[in-house]
Amino acid sequence: MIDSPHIVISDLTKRFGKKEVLKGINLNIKKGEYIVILGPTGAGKTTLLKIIAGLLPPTSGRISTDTGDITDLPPEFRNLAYLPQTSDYSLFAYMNVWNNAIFSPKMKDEKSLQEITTIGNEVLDLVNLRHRYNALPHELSGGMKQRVALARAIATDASIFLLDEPLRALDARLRIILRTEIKKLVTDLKKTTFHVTHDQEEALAVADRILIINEGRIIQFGTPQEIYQRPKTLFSAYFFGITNLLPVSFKDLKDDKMIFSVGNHTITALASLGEISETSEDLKDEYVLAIKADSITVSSIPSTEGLGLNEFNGSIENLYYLGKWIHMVVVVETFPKQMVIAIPSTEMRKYKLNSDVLIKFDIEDIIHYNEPWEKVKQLEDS
Amino acid sequence: MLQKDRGQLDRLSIRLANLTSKREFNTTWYIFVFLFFFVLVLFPTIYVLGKVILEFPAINDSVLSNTEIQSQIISALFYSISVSIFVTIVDLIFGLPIAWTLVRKEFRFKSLLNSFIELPLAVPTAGLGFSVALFWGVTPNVETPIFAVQLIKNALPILILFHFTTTFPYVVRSLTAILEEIDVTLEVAARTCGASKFTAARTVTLPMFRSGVATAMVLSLAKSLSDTGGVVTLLATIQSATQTGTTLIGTWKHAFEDKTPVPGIPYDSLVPSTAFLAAIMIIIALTLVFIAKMIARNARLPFRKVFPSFEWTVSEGKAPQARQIVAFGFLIIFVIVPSLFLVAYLIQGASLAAFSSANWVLFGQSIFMTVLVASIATIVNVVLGVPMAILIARKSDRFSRILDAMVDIPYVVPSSALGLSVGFFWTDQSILPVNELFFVIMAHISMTFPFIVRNTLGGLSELDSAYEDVARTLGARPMQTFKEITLPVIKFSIIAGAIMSFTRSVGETGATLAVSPSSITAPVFIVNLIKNDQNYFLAALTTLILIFISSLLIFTLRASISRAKRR
Repeated sequence: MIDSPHIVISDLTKRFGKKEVLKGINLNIKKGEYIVILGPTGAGKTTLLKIIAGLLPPTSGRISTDTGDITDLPPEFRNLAYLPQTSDYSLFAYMNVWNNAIFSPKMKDEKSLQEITTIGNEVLDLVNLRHRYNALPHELSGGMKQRVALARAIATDASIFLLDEPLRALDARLRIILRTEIKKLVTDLKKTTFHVTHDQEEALAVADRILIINEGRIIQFGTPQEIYQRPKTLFSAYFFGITNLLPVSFKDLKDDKMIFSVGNHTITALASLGEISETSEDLKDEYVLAIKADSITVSSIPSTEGLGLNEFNGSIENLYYLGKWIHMVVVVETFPKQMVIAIPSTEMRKYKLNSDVLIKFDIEDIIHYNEPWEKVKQLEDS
Repeated sequence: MLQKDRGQLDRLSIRLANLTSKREFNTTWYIFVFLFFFVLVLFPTIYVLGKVILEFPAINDSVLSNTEIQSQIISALFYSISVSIFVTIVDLIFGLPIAWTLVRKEFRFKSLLNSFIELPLAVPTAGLGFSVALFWGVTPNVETPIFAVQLIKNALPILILFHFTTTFPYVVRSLTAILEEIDVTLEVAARTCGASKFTAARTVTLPMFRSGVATAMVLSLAKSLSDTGGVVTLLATIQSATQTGTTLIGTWKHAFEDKTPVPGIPYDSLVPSTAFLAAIMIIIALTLVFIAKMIARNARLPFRKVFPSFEWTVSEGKAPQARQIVAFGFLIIFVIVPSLFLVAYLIQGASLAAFSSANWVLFGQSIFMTVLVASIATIVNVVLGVPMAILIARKSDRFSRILDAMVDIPYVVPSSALGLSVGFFWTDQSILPVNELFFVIMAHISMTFPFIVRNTLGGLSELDSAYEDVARTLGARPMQTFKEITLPVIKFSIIAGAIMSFTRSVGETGATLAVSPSSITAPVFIVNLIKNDQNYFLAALTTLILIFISSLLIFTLRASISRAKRR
């Protein structure tokens, strides 16, 4: 991977009337990187893609690529390929597969007919659809359509791919197959890719780096591991995986450990695992802890003697069977919330409803945020 | 196998795409389209309003001091307004069940009925007026076919009957268009909650129907306020001296050009009176349409309360069937038969004497002129109306919303008022040398411009702009994108708009009479034959030829669309 930046976005904002959709986006993307943009509906994901594509003018800010500043170029001169969110992968409905695939070189008129034919054959070979060259889009399955759209994008020879929810509307199994296929294809061709989704699992699986945006702001930009294990904000903590958000009060700071009280209990966390609050007002001692469901250990034998550090007795209120995993809902007395714990379903027979258990939080897995408690409710309600 | 070699034409089109995709070119072109609309379509249409305001002293002197002029204006306006409102209401009452049945029910003669409903649209109103008068009216001078009802002597009832035939097809069409888009499952959901069919339809579907009802009301009001040729032939055939707003404009304008005195009105007062009347007609039309839109948007249609036992009764057993029979009976007796009655007359009246006495030269000239005017107007409108529609649909800012609202104004303005206004505009300017034919063409352009824009807008709304976006990022220039992506989707809408524009222009009398009384287009020829020459046979024949031209176009379009859809 070359380290010089391929795309640089600086101070990008977009306003629709009074509504500010993007609030100062700054990004540095390396050549060949696969970036997944993740965020809830209305976060500004599609707007960002459209601005990069040149379909919307930014209110302020610049975008440049290795070829120079492209902010004022019309889309057809930006040398990128955009796949918007439409029901049929935006294939041109009345053109057959072949004409869809060679649309770009034909329009650009830089190549001879012979070359265009070669390109068409090449890209259809890449997606294994050469034999269907004469089919119309509506005659193809969802997965095939997606492949044709990809072939058409590859035929542009663009160095940047913008994919807006490319796997939407496909069934779960095909989504998993295709996401790997797309990733391999564009990585082999050294394309720099932006892939918008709101499926966190998809993001973790394919991204080199994940960009989380919410309400027009970058929440976090990092590798999947960073984002999963060390979410910078409560929002990204909640967004990935099953996360228990526990409202607690700050009690004491001893050396490198922070002690929080919750109900009649105390929880000890590492001071270094704290993230700064997004809210600027003085919050006194309100904190929220984020603990991933799969990081909690559980034992079917409750402790009768003294409890160890971050150990609690509770009882099982519910068990949800999810195939490979079980979600166990545990009530700990005086905790403001039930805890959700993920355990492998092979261990299911050890547990019964309403029986008592011992749960333990690993000190390395507790991340604390100096945020108001209402924020938990806000997140869970949205 | 896969590629043909690129020919001369292809190269040219690419070069053209490169040229037209320059930003300056684009901007210039859109500014031109926009100016054309404002300066040459919209402004002439309402020019008379400004003229009346500027020359108010003259109008004050000649119109407002003359009781004869005032009483003529008031009487004409009474007929225009009362007829249009009454007709619109009755149209809605009978149009709803018919539209409902056409969309939701399957029955044997559905497709036949579907084409029959549109039939009156192909009949030029000048001929339609004659046909309706023959069927319903007492016609002292004309020998009527044997089935004629021959009942009505007065102007008001026959005006109402006539306007049913002209407006009903529009009402049914705009209602079915919206109804087709409403999801039936919502109504089914209401019925699973225990509502009767009638209650479900009334409380669930009808409120979603507002836009359809609004369109139907606007079309019906505008059309019935506007019709001139049909009213002239209708009233001439039953020998009534009654005038409506639009015919009065035509009569006065004609009297002015011919220098014939009108009893009780000084010659000098004719032009100010006509301008004043036209301005009032425009204001009334715009106001009524605005009120209709407000009612359709805000009214709780028809009321919120539910009457379970009554509504179950009308939903069950024989009641729905009875409703349908009444609605279709209305359609056949009041719309289809009267508009086709002319054919019966033609068959009965055909004779060698009638053929040999006809003025075939004028007949040929009038048909030629009609087709010429309609063709030029339609071509100009397609070239400028399609970009206008794209401007409105694809640049969604406040400016395009204003344009969107303004496009319909020429449609709402009564055609005689429009013709008069356009005439004033071109006579008052001294930049371009103009002649009568030019007047007529410009009036027809203004009048039919909304048809192209509306239809194209309808087509554009079917195409997600994301496809155009993709084409652009794939390297297509704006012009190439239009040609490759947009045009294939909207072309049938454009053709449909062009045909509506063409047939409307072919059938138009009022605007032509008001802009240039000496220009004899076919509908004017028909009016003259009936009103002045009492040559009913030739009038009927001319009508039939115009029907033939229009329906040929309509059926070609339908056939080509259904062929394209099957593919």
